[in-house]
Amino acid sequence: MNAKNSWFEQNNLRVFLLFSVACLFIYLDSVNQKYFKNTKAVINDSIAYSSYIITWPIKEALNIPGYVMHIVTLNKENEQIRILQEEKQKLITDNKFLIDENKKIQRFVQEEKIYQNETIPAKVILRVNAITASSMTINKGAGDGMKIGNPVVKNNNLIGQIEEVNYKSSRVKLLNDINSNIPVLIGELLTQAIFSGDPSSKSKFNIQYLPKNFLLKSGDSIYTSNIDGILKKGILVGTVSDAKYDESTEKQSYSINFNYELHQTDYVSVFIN
Amino acid sequence: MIGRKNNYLEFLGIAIVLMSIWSTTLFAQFSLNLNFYKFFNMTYLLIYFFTFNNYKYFSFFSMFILGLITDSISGIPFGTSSLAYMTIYKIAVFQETIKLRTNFFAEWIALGIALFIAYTVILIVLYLSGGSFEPLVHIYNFIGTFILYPFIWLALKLLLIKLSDRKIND
Repeated sequence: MNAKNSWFEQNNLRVFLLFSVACLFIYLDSVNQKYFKNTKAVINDSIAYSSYIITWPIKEALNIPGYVMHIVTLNKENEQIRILQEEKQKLITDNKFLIDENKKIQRFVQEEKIYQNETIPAKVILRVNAITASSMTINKGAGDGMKIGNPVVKNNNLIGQIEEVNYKSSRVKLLNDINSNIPVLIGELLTQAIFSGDPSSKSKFNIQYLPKNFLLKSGDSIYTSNIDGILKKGILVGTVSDAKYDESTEKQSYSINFNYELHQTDYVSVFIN
Repeated sequence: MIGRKNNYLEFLGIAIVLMSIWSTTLFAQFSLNLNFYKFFNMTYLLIYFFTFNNYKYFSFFSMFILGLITDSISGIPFGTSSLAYMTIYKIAVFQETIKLRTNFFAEWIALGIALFIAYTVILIVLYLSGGSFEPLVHIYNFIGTFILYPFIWLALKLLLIKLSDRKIND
């Protein structure tokens, strides 16, 4: 047999080997093999942090126009804040009632602290918006108490759940990810439904499994439900707005308002209990 | 065939591919509603272009590593993008070997075949791993990537010719 034309020549063998290793990786990943999982965690950590370091100068450079605009508008904003502070100070000193009310609220806040959930602040090191996933990577991992399924919040609004935990970083599956399905309670009657990511729709979200003939109203709040045993009940997800019902098609349209700008989210809090 | 290029031009190829992989994180920095990712896959085009033009550092092993980086960033099963990149690389290498007998149209059709196999591989892996996916989004992405190639080809050719001329003049 001519060795040069042989199927087993070195180059073909290398190609076959790499294709086999890729297939093996896919298999080991899907079965969650212990040693592979640990190796993957180390690789994920290294790639997440190196990507953060490499893309940081580019991100900062692209942010320069924003910084310039910020400096330009800063003086105007400062003047407005100064006027507001002066007015506020005048009102407080003029009205003793307000001072008492303020003390009362402060006492209430102190009392409420014991009901707060235990959270860990985390820095967002990578955001990904790809055809297959919508996620962010945070700088807290298994050693910081992160667990799969932990809710991640920003401004008291749920933004996603921990999907994958590495040693020094974790991946957060955002609400608009196609694989995100959150059990929720909607409106005054706390109607149960599933809040899922839908990249093909304009709003990027979909509320599924609502009772028949249930109509969403603008202003309805959406809270998490503890029905799956992972999420804590009562975390605000968003608020329904522009709810309309089309009688001809018997379909309702709506949009969801969130209390945060996802692309400007630099820090988040993770519920660890 | 374009011969071996200057060292920094050789490195430029792999650097541009890496930047296209990281672009998913850079675009997400500014607005999650830009949705560029939805209509085309720049990485596939760049791998095909630079492999076809015989750039250094493009090999099966580098495709495997680039695939792992992509999978780690986007959170899909490890090895999925490696399979897709290696498929595109293999078809580009084959096309490059018969380059003297072909024209741009044949190069473009070969890219279409490579993309079709790559997208099929990704959809099969996503299906088998139990994840949800939107087939229509992948079909739009495939069509967008295929249609975009002549524009990217022209832009890169012009850029690389300009860079080569500058190097010669220096």
